[in-house]
Amino acid sequence: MAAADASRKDEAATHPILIGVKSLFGNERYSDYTMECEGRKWRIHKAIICPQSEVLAKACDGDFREGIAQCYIFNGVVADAVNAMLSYFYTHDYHDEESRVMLNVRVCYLAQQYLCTPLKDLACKKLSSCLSNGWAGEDLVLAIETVYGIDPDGESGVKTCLLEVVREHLDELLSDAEKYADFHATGRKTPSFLMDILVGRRHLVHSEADARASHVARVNCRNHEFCMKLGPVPLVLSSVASRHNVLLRCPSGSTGCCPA
Amino acid sequence: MAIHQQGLANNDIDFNEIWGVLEKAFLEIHTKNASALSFEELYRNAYKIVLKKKGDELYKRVADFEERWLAMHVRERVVNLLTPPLMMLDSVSGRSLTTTAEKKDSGEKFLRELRGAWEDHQVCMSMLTDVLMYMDRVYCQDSRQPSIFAKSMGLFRDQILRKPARAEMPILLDILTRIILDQIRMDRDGETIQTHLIKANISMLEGLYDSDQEVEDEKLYLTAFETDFLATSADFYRSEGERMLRESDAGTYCTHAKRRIDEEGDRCRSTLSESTAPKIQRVVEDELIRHKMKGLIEMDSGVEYMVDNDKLQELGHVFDLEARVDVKKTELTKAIQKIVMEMGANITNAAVAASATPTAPPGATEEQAEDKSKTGAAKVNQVTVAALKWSEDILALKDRFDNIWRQAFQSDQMLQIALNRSMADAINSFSRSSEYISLFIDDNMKKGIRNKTDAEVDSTLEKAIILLRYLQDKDLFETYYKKHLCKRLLLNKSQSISVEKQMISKMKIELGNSFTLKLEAMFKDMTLSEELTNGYKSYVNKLGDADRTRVDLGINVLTSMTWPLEAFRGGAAADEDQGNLQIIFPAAIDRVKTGFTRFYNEKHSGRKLTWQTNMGDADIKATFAKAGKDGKPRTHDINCSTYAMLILLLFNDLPAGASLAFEEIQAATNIPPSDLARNLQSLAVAPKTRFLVKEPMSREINPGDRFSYNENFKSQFVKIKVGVVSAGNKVEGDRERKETEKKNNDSRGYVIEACVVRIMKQRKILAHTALLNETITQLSAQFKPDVNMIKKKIESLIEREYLERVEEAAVPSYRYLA
Repeated sequence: MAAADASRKDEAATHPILIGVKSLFGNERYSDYTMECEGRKWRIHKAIICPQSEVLAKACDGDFREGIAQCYIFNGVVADAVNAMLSYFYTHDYHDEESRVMLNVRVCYLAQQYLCTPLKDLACKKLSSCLSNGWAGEDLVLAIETVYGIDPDGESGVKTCLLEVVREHLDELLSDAEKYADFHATGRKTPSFLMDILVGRRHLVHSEADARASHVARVNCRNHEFCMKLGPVPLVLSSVASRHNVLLRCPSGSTGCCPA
Repeated sequence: MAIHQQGLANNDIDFNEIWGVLEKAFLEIHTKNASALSFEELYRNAYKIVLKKKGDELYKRVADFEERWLAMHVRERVVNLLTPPLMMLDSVSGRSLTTTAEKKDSGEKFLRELRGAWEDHQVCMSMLTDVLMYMDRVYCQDSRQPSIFAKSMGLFRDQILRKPARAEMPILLDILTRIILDQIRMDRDGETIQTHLIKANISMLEGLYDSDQEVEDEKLYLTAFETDFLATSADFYRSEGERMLRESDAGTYCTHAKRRIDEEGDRCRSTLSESTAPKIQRVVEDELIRHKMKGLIEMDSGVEYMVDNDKLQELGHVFDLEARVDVKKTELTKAIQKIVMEMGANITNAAVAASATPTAPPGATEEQAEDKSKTGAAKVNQVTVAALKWSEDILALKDRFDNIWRQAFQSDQMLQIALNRSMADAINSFSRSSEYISLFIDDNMKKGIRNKTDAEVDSTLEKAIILLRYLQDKDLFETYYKKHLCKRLLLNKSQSISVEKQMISKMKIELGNSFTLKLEAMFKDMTLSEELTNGYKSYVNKLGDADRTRVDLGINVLTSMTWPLEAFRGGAAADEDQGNLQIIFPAAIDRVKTGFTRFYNEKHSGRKLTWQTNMGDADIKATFAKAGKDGKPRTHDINCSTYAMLILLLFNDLPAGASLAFEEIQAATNIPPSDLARNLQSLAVAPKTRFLVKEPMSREINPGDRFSYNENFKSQFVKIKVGVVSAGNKVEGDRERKETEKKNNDSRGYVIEACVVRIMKQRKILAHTALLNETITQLSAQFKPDVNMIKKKIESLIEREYLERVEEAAVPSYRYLA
């Protein structure tokens, strides 16, 4: 099975169409549109980008300035993230060797803004994999600040990734205030982050009991693309959640929505 | 708390600021100034708002903005085009105040403006939707709101279409519907209209829904327009149909109706909605066809006129029309059946009338007419002519409707069944059809097929079979056919025996083996008789006494049950019992008779020969003293009936100048008086064969008349044939017919009894109705049994203890008694 899967993957990766598309990334040849961010420019191919992003397609084709000038300028995002997104459109992957945590966080939010769920999922996956390799850097704190800065109350895959790491290492983080001074400082400034930690803990304590209790309801897991693809999954409404009518957590393992 | 509040306040300021940017941009979009706007900026701002959980506020603001825009800018522009000609549409008097051209023009202006407003709205909303995509995907889906596009379409409906145009006025949607209907009316009246304008407005109604739930079958087009459209159209076509029935002819009506149906279909495609096509066509079909078919068919220029004048194409149109609405083509079928029945009845009446008219047809019967005693015969002949005409006319009728059926009715099966049924009815409603059809065949066998090719003969026979196929009383036909065939065979009247046999084999195919069994037996008798005659000749030759004076004999030996010999009895002879009278033969003849009887008995023992002296003919060589040139004796070959021969032989032995009285002749021959009278009429009255002189000279033969040898007989011919009055096959007299019918009924009685017994023997116990049905089914191939007759026969079978009633049965039933 595994061998067959691998060979199918290889075959897919070596498909002439894919190779052709990949070779177009960063290639001015045949390009028909320009994208710009922080002064950096990409000549891109609408035929590649537009079918994958409805938002960008509307911008390219519409009667707005972007449609007339044939140029799209990104604002409020960093060029690296844009580069990663464009790279994804051509190769279904992007490189995250440098500044890994923050890049992944930014790509994740860029993907969310442009309604590109597969890229968001990919970014979450990459984020959680690099956090599991080394979580204790200052990147974690930076990431927490960024995430809660952009969207303090919302629910997102990035948050889940970060919270998971924090919960896992909570004892260590709390026990050494000196070593983790940045973390402590950030916690003090970010009440919604602390609330999420608390709710998460309570959830952990009660999850087994809840799973047996009558609160269990089968609901479509809206935020979790993979869960949705698997069909309705049982969602455990924690007592807090049911009271506030928020915070539905998917119990099917990693809330980062990576398939098993 | 204070900090918290400030946080919210900050957000509010944020929101208003961002909304300000968006609102300004939306205004630009609505005023068609979008080219300077940045999609990225608008999208990012809307995204930010939604991310800050202000999606609902944004949604509401956008909706409010659109509502205001529609109410303040768009509605006014549209309403301004409701010019007086349009607003006078609803009052009846208003119509006359404005010309069609004005109305059309104003209507088009209005439609154009509304279309513009709708298209603008859609374009703008689709741009707004683009920049608000994040709100649609995240906020609207989470909170189950309709997309902002759908919402704004609903706003268009509510703000533009559902608002009264002005105070005290109907809502714009009603006005729009009325204007479109008015334009369609103009289109139907032949004006050229701007179909694309209507189409655009119809598309708008198709894109809008009755409620925000956007239920698929509650499109405004369906709820607000289509119903009205169908109702108005029904009115229109109802009155148009009535007017056309009054003022036009049926052919035009058909073409028009068909054109209208096509037009409405085309109109739906070009101007309205494809989905309405079947509905409106149904309305037109209802109003112009279904409800008017009867009226159309019964018009002066309707189906009857079309049939009378062979308007095949128009009949085809009528068929097409009714076929659209009724697979059975009920009205047309009824009408055609009625016409066939009427025409059939006319043919029958004509035949009855022709046979009753006393005037003799000129030419053919003129020479007979001079002999007053033959007027009766001429009349009979006339009836025969009528019978032949009847058959030809019925065949022509069938041909005519077959042609109509093929060319106009597309060989439709329903109509074929109906036509067959009416043809059968037309034929069977005439009580003498069996006899007439047999006579038709008889005439063709005797004369009709002369000088015809095989193919022509075959088609003639086929025609006879066609008639036969429709005939119900096949048994009665068999009786007549046997009778007619009998005469043809015995009197050698048939043109060709092989054609006769061909006919029989055709009947065999059509009616089955049992039907032709007896007919075939007759042919067999004929063949055997020929062999017998030849055998007798050689037998006589072998005897060696080559007696020159010996009479030659040709004989037909007929099986008694097979041959309807009563056919030869003249009408007057019917009441006499010939069997008891022994004809007296002269010695020469008697010798031949006994000679043959001996010969026959040697061949077949135990058979009784009965001599049918009333039949047969004789060839006599007669010498008349002054018949030749210059008064010299001359010998003539006379062909006459057996009776005539017997009479003439009496005068051979009479001394010259002597005479015999009628009574004396009868006593000497024993010929029945009526036959004797007829033969004497031929021999002493008919001018060309007046071998005898009658005293007193008169046309009628009366008792006491005296007859003597006509010495002065003269004829230019060597061969003379003495006419035999009742030789041909003619229509029966009333009495004959009654007799035939009675006989037929008697034989039907036996057939029914046999059938009932056969059924009961098999079933043992059977309910009354089941028995009746079974009997009728089994006998239908031969004739249509009379129910009362079956009941009588059942009674009679009970009396004779073949059957008994089952007392305890719930329904009346019978049991078979072995």
